[in-house]
Amino acid sequence: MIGYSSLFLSLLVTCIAAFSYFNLHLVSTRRRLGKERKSNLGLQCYRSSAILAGLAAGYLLYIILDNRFDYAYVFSYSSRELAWPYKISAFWAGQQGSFMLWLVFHVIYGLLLSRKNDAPAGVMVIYSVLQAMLLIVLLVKGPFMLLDQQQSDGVGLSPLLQDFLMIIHPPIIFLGYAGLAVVFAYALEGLFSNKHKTWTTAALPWALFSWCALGAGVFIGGFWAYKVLGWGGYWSWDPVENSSFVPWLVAGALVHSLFWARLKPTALKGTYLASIFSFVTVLYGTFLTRSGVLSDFSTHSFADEGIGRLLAGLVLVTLFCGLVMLIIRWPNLPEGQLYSSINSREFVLGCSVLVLTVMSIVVFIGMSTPLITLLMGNPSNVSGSFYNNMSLPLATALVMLLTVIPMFNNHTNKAAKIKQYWWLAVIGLLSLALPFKLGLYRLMIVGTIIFSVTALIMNITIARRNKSLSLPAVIAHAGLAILVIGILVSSAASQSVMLTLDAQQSKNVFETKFTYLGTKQTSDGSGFYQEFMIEGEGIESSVIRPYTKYNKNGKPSTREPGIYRGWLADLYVVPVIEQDDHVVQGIVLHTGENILQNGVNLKFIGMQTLGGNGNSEMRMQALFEATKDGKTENFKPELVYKNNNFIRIPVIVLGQYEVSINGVNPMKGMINIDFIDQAIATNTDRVQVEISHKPFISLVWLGGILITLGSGWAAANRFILYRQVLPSRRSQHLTSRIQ
Amino acid sequence: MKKRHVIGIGIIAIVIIFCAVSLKNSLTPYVTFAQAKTISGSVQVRGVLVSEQMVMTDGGKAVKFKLLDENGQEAIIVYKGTKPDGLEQAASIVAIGKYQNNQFVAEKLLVKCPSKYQSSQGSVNNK
Repeated sequence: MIGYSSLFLSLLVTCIAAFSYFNLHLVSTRRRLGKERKSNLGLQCYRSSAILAGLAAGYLLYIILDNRFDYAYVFSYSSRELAWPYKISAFWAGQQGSFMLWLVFHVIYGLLLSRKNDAPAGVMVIYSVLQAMLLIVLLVKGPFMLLDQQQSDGVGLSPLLQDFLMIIHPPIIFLGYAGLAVVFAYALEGLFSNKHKTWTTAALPWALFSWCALGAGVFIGGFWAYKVLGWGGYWSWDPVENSSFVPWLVAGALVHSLFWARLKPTALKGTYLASIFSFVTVLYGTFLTRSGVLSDFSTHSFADEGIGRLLAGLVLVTLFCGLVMLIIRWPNLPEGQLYSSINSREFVLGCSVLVLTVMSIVVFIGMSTPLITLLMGNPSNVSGSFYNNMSLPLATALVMLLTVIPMFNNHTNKAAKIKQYWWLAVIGLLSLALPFKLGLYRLMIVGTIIFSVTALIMNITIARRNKSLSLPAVIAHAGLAILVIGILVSSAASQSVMLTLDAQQSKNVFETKFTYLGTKQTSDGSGFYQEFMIEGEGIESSVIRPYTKYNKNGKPSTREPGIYRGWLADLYVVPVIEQDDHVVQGIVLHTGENILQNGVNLKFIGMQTLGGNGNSEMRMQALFEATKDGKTENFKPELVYKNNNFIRIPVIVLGQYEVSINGVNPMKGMINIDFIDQAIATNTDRVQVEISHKPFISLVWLGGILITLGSGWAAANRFILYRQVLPSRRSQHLTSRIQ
Repeated sequence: MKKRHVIGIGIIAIVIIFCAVSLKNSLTPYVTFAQAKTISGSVQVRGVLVSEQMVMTDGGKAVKFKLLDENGQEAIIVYKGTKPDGLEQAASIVAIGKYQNNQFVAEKLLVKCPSKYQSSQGSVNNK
């Protein structure tokens, strides 16, 4: 009850905070500054709501760490044997918990904003309303639902998610989601108070920061898919991926439009739109992936938990409020030129905003197609080719702009005579060698690669000399150029073959010698490795070990590919899981019943309970008879119940067959056993494996890292700059009010 | 100025047309097997596995199984690629591909995990 009640109280106090901030806002806008009666009620209420939200989050963490499996959420995502980092990540493994994490970040940002009344009261009004929305979602579908009966252990975290990257991926994404709420609040406040210039300085660092966090999250997600899922790629245009990719693109447009608006205030109209849509697309993506509307279109999406309508309502309300405010204020927005001439920085900047916007619209249309066609009565989905075909020309346009922007001199706002850059053409021609060496002849791809290379060179050499870009921007732009090269080359020039290898056998593919060394069980029995030795020219001889993890029933379930990471290319090795008929699970037998399994006749004779009364330990012992080729052996597998845990004690019979008890029903005289034929199980000297050669894929990661680094650095710079101008700005603000 | 506007509008029109055409080409409608037979393009069919007995063909390079669609009609699905994890345990399977020569050739399989809590299964693509 602690969880729910603190959420509920937090909602109440948040509402009060919103009202008193609203009051404060009215007072300050009516300029009744004579009685400078600064009400601190809003701040106090906001802080209390933050404490209460923190209490709820802390309680969720506590019940996870304390193994309270009577809570449905803990039962579903945690289990006793889960290591503690994964237990913590169970906090945000599920839908309800991830909303909780979102709330936590929202509240932390809110505390930063409310500190020293940094943000105007109007911002806090909108920000508190957004917080109330999150709290309502959590109250409708929170993580504090109790199960009807006590559970001794939880389901556990999906093995795919048991990876370091998946611990940090969701928090990073939510850092970005929550940050865009700040920008949204600032933008709406700007519209409300009709002050269209002041808010952008405050919102810029938040926009950059959210952009950086979303980008980092997207790249980490892609890297995780490549490293863990084993289908060979890093991006599949899945709705879940798109739901953070679209806000990232919109936030990119937002950041660039903020810079554009500094040069030409008319661009502020676009900035407002981008601010509204960056947050609305966050909500919309949440709605699409959490409402179950896409459940037929993606394996990824969370099942419908009954909050689809609520989320849809929130999307529409935010969009409606934002757009209505914008329409009301449209006549008051600055008028004038969008750019002084085609040969100007703001023109190039505006083009980049346009391209990013078009790109986000394209992905938005693609990810919404299931919903739109569902409403039109003929549900359809789009294939990945739509996104790929659409984004290639847009990427070309982006790298062209990247090539051009460093030419502009900061002082003259003009590009030097194009003749001065004759050497760019030489670089372009030289870079033709790359696609032709890799056998890429599609005009569009070749062209995009040439522009990416020139963009990279321009950013490294000219951008700083002309002072056309700040260093963080240069890093991010160079990162984008590298990313585009990496994506194009790795996807267009990737090749794969299927091999069958016996133990110690070698085969040559991709100028590399592959030797299959054999299978090794992990020491803790959680899965097995299949080891391959690779040797070749320019390759460090090494052993790569694709890993297959067993599920709870001891069957191979998820596999991680083995990857040899080279500077020029990755070798990506995915073994095919064999049919595992040596493991038979869930055989149910009644007392006295026989079963013939893999040539051995098993007879269930009976069972007895040992121990029990007074002891915490209880043992169920079953009696079996195994017969094969005239040989008969009796054996007694046991199931021990100790400290609320069931422990299996398997028995190996006839030197080959392992039998363990899954469960018993003494009342009906029934038993459920698992059977493993070890003679087959150990016979794994042949493997079928798919080997892919992926050139330049390391550039995808390098590009992603550079973009994150650049945008993060820029965000840090702008936060510092904002802090420095803040005191003077505040006094300025005050004088403007008095006037 | 006017010339520039014409160019701008022209570019926007090209983008929109290009977008519409490629959207139309890559739409995969949600259908039953009966409808899938009549459509030449890529479609998706949802169903359940008829039996857990999987048939592997082409030495592990392809997976073949029978799928029962929502109208109770069966069809053989051929998927060229490695078997997706948890296919036998799937609550439902979505096959995306085309109907050819009395069988459904899938380019992609979406495997829905029986537990709604197992949120991330990862789709399997055929490259």
